[in-house]
Amino acid sequence: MNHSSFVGMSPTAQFLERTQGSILERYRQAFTVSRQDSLDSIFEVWQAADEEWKVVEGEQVISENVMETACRFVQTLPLGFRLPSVTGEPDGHINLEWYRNPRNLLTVSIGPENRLYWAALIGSEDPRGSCRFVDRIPKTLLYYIARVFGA
Amino acid sequence: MIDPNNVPAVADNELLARFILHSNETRSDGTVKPKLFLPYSLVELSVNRHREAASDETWQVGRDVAAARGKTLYGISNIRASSCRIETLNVAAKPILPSNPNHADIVGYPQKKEDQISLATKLAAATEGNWVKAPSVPGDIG
Repeated sequence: MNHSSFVGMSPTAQFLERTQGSILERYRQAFTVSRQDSLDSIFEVWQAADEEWKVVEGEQVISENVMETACRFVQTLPLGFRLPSVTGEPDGHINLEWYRNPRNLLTVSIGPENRLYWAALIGSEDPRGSCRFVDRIPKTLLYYIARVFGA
Repeated sequence: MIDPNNVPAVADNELLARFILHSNETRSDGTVKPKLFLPYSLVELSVNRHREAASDETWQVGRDVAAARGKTLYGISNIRASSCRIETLNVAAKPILPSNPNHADIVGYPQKKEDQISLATKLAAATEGNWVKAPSVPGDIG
């Protein structure tokens, strides 16, 4: 008999296991719903840019590739991370912002060819950079998302 | 408005208006997003000096700018000239004569977008008060 099966035999342990599972499932569902909200926002921004900006000189439409990259970025956010607000940019990028107040924020601009341009302002710190997004969100960005919210 | 024949240099204590032409440049808490201060492919950014301008005149300039670009004027965000003089940035008088002698540019933006975003976050954080909604008819800036 291993330890886990022994624990699972106890009615109290089984109750705790069920409760924990239920809480975790509700948490996952809530996160999935809010993540869907972010994905919907990306889609709306993509459509709005296509409708509003294509006739204005100097402004570019948001490409399907940029929209898909933004969606993959949001889908790749680890469970428990806050979701960003989403806006379009006149240069055809999609902007994701994690904001607590004007001096605690991270802004990531998603451009063509999976390119990310980002800058954070956290008190007097002003880190910035650019990188390519392939499958995983760079650890640096996850670190600064957490920092924005005081983690 | 400033005398078009005698446009002074922009003093540090001057208040400058940045016109808001996209609703997504503002937040619900009254602050503005860094993107309001992004020049994108350019390296300078237009602002309008409040100096010697009646509020109606500033709003009219904003409406003219919006109309010329096929946009809606949502409001303005105010920032002190000294707050714009950070790192590589400076503020220069750039009158558009004869219509707008109060026009100025924030100049010296770097080309790299991440550097532009970084500066824009600092400018957005340095704006004075909440952004001001455009009046439906000419009125006070507040």
